[in-house]
Amino acid sequence: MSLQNILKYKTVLLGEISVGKTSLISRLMYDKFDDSYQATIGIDHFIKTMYLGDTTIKLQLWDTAGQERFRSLIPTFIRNSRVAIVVYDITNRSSFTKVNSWVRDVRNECGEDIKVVIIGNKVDMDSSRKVWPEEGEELATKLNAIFMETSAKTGSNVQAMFKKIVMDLYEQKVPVKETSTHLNINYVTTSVGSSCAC
Amino acid sequence: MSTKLMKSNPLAMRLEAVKNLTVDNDTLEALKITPTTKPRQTVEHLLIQQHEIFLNSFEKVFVEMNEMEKSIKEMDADLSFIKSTLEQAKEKTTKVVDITNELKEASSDTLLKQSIIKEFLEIFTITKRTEINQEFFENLKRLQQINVHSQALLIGNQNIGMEILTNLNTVQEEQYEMLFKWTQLQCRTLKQEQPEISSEFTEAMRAFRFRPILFDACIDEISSIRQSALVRAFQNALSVGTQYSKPIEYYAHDPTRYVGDILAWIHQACIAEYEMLSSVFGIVGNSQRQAVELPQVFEQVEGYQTSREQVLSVLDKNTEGLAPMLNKRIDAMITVLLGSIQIYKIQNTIQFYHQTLSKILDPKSTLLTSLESLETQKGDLTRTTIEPSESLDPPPTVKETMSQIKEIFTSLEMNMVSSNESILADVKEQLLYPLITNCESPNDLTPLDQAIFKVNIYHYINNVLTLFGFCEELINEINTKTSHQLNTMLDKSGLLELIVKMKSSEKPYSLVPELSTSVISTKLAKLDNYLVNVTMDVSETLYRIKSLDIAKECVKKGCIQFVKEYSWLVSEILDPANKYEFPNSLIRRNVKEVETLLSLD
Repeated sequence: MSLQNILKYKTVLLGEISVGKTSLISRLMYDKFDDSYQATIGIDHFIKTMYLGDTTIKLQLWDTAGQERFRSLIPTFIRNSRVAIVVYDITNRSSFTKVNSWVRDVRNECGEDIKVVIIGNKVDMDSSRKVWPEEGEELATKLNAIFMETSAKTGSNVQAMFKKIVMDLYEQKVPVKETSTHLNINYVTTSVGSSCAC
Repeated sequence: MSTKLMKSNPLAMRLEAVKNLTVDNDTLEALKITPTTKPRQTVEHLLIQQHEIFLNSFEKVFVEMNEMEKSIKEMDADLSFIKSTLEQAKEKTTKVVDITNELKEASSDTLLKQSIIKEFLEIFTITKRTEINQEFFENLKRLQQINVHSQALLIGNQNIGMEILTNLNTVQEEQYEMLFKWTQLQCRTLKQEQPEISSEFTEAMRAFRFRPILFDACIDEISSIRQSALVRAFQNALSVGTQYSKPIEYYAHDPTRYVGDILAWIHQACIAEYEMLSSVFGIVGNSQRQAVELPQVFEQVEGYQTSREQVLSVLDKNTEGLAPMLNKRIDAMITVLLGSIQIYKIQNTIQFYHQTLSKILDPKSTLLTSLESLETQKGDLTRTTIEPSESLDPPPTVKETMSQIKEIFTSLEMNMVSSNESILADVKEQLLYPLITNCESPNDLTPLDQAIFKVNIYHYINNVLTLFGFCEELINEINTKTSHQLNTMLDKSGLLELIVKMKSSEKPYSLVPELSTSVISTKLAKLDNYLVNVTMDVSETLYRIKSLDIAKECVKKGCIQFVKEYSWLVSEILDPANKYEFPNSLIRRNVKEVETLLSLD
């Protein structure tokens, strides 16, 4: 393992209660989905390691609690993050309207340097959809964020979403030339706790 | 010539036929019949001639035969020669075969020996590596294997075993020394805030499991480097910040945020440290959801166990430098803070991180112990003194404290860790009781004013508490205090003494000296006087208390109590069992009139 090309990014997942933050991580890390709901207590930590060419990218994922009682800790969780993934539930209108304030919190804390990703989760429940993709798209454009719709349950777009984040980060760090745009991303999962305070 | 030859040869057969040719009598007769003897002679002559020819021919044959016999004899001789030669050859060949067999055996022996030697060499050849890479570690493992094998060799081949072991030890020591120096150099890279551990480093530490002294030396080195690295990193995070975040001290004006940031930083640092140590100890992460929770014993390295305790003790060592820094800052924050609500919030945060960190740190670790001591630290809540104002209004301190309690109770549902009971107990012990104690401390008020003042405060407290379903017990406690104050009113009216006495005396009351007709008469005259003025007192009180509802309710409650006691007193006086003379004349006011005087209708 070469130690020269390791990039670490603190990534924080935010959003209202029960929109599927933990499920998204579980899908990404273990390719699993658990139907039963278990509220995250405070904060949970995971590492996703991905290899992009000769560069190793470690996403240090901090899964936060959506419950109101942990709200006071959120700014300290956001601090130092490089990526913020704000998740809403497409079947829950109010979780979408709160996105704005989540992104505001993120920008307050980290300014414009942080990459913001807005995720509309639960597309598997399209029949009870309350938020249209166009609305998500529009909001993301307004907030200078990446937008995607996913389903942690079916796995739809989950890997693609993280791949896109990693590619964006990689391109930011190491500008990719036109001729070498094709890159193989290999996923390797590690899951021991780690953190980033960089 | 052999007869065999004669018989088989066609010529011989012919000859034989001729020889055996017999002329039967008929023929002879026929011949004799011939008129002349001459034909007979001719025939005989011819016969002789033919015999001669035959003889001649036969002679030739005979000669030939002789020739042939000679040749055959020669051939026979030759063959005998060949036979003897062959026999000789055969004899020689047997020897060759024997030799060959011997050689063959020897060869297979040699081959076996060769393969044994090859195996032996493969097992016992001691090699050195000069570069730290994967081959180096494989070689090191081999050397260890040789060690094991040599021990086995000692049993049968002591000399060889000893020789190999001696050589081996030298080489092993050299290799370990080299690896140790390399590792010490590598340790320097650990000065960064979040170092990465190379696979070679992990391998090196794994190898040192066979050299516990070296292993411990490395761990000590790592600990001391990491300790100062973490302290430096913490200082930076506090006062310098990073490209992506402001320094933590930027939020020093917001105590909750400040303490939260400090603890969040510590949490992240601990997790990073744990991750680094798991690489150092060569632990493969488990894939449970609780990613940072460890099984008790997670790996065996060739017979050496890495226990959770071992990793945790190093983790504790690495992070212990943070504890005093953390302690100093949070401690200072708590000491400076006046508002209990902020202390409560901070302690809630500390509790949360205490619980979160318990998952990764040893319960006895310096950091957790530090947090525990901070958790139990209470701000100085008792230094506030309560000065009653002229209005007998609950003083600002009471209002402030109660609004804090209200806030705490409101946030009970948002409480992150403790159960409601423990918070309720905390609030009682830390806020409410000190407050009440302060209220009850002596002041310059007249007993009545003081009673009203206290009742006011109790009411204020209860009004807040009634907002919360879980405060029933507390409310009852306060109510008891309130009714206790009402006794003061009764006392002031002169009624209390009578009631108390009556309740503790035997009937008939009129025979008790303190309850004699004259005493009752005097007391009730005093009461009448009191009742006339009480409306004045009450309005005075109403005037002094801003919140009319509270005052009215307080007075009303007091009056109802008063009336209740008074009507009891009246009924007792009227009771013939008490043997008062002319009881009706003793009672100057009936209950209805008292109610009217107290404006209770």
